[in-house]
Amino acid sequence: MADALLSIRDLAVSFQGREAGGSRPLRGVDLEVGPGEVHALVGESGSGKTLTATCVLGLLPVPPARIEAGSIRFQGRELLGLAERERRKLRGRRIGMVFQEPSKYLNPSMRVGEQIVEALILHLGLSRRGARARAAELLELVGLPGGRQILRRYPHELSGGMRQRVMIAMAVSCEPALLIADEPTTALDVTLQRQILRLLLELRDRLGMAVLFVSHDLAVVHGISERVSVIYCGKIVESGSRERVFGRPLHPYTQALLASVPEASRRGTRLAAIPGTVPDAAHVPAGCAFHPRCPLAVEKCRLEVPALLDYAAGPPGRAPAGGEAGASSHLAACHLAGRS
Amino acid sequence: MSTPILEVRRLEKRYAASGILSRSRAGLKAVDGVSFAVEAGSTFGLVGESGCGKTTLARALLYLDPPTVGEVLFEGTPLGGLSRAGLRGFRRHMQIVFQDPNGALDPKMSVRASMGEGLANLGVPRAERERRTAAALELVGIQPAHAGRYPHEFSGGQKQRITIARALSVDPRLLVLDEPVSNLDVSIQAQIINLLLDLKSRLALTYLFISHDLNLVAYLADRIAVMYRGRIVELGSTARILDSALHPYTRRLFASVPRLTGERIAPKMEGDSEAGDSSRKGCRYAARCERGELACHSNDPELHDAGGGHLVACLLPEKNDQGG
Repeated sequence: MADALLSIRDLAVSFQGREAGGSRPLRGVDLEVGPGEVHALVGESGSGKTLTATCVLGLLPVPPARIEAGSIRFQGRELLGLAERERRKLRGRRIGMVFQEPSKYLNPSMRVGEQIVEALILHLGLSRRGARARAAELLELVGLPGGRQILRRYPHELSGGMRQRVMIAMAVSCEPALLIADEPTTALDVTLQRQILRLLLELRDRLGMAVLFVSHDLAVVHGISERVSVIYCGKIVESGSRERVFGRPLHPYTQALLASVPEASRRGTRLAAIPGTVPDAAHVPAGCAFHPRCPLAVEKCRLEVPALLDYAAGPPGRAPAGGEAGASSHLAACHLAGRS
Repeated sequence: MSTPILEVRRLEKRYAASGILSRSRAGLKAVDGVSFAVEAGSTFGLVGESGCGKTTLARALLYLDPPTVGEVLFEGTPLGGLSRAGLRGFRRHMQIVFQDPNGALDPKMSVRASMGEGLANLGVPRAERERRTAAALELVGIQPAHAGRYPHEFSGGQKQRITIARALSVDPRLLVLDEPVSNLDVSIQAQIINLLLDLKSRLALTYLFISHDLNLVAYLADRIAVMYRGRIVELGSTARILDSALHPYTRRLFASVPRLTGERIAPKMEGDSEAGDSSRKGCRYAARCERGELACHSNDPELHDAGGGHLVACLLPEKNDQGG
């Protein structure tokens, strides 16, 4: 897709470590986020979802990490190999970020107002007075009325939900084209979670930014996303519209994940649990990484890594989907996809 | 009706607010007058948001952290009157499994040693301890041959299986499960939930299942109690709580849960509702309640039966077409 806002192609990352040969937590990630799109990246712990986001933000610790291969293009510009000074300009200005635990990213000894004001002065070159006024507006925008009072508070004087709102206000302060939200509601109670999800959608509509929403929670992803990519062992195994991925999942891993979620409608039935555990990045199985846990695996799955192909219009063409994943595409990396 | 396996009467847990930073007050009531009964063989779900007092309640009713006021009866016997030795004897009937198996298992002890401890406290001889440990591990799907291993040699899901095995090794009748799968990956959660379902029917157990995960409780529980700020605000069969809740908080809570079958969330901004301190005298939910009236700020509603064992603490309960 030529007009993708963010295009990650074949991204591979390795870590040197105690294990001989190190580990490869990302083994060729392909991901495209269109302008203004809410794109969810779903996976279990250790799947590489947060690491992918970290690479986009340019926050990968090198060493011990190493980018082995691949490309990350943002607004048509290659990010890998860009000087740190340039990366820092993009981060915060064009790419905002929100994390699970806002306390970790807010300076505890600084009033929250000052933290927002500093970011505005740094990135937008506003005057201090102008930045203060804008900061108060931003807090109103994220649902913290009486912003001026909150500006004078320290992070510890705010509730968890308020801190997350402040974090979101900072993230959108420069009206970024892309917001990376990594498990932004995982630490919050359900009533608060819904408010924050609504806020993110509201801000997306108002500011026209795209959101890369990283989460392990399928129900939350179902509630918020337009497109969904499922990641397993450092590779995207399925990617498509919310309706397709939840309604007609192609990959056995996606199917199994969806079947394993407890809900009232499944009362009295056993959940379809996935046997075994997620392999760690130093011991990824050969062939399709999911094959040891897959009920359908055949010999080919043990030997050959399946390519990510487009099944939107029936059986895929021979060319891999790379480079032309349109908005209507439904990609899957499975030798048996679409056969059923 | 037969005697419930567990009965909690007007339980209160107060913490003295006496630190140097606190203002002098009568103390913080983390649990404030909670009463409920659990029928043998059922799964009783206790839900609420963080800070509502559900974990404090669990610890208090097991006398791990005894209640300030109130009674806990296990099969009709009040635990409050028991000596320490008597209480220890009763603990074998009521075991607890916590959220974090890493905190529950000593990293420096082998699984065998960790599991043997509880049995040794009950005076079980060595050979019998060994036999029971092996049997319990087998039950949860851990090879007894691995009992000599240490916690770090197991995955998170396996560790949680081991803490469940340890709880089961003393042959309890009631298991208190406090967020037992919240730390686990989605694909592992389902394995543990299925295991809990199997164990319950094989061993005729009763579960008190505590969780913030409403989908999970709705899947598992026969009856659900909803807690808000130290109180139970509604209690009823799972069907009633899901389909015809009477308390505005219960409705709001369940309406907030994302579901795989639900609609996409609408991008609508709500007023910030994090403010709103509860009034001292009235209903604790009044400040957040969309139905609240003046009376709610001055009258504290009691939990009362709205018909058919469906209890609610609300002055203006929702009206249901199904009738009370």
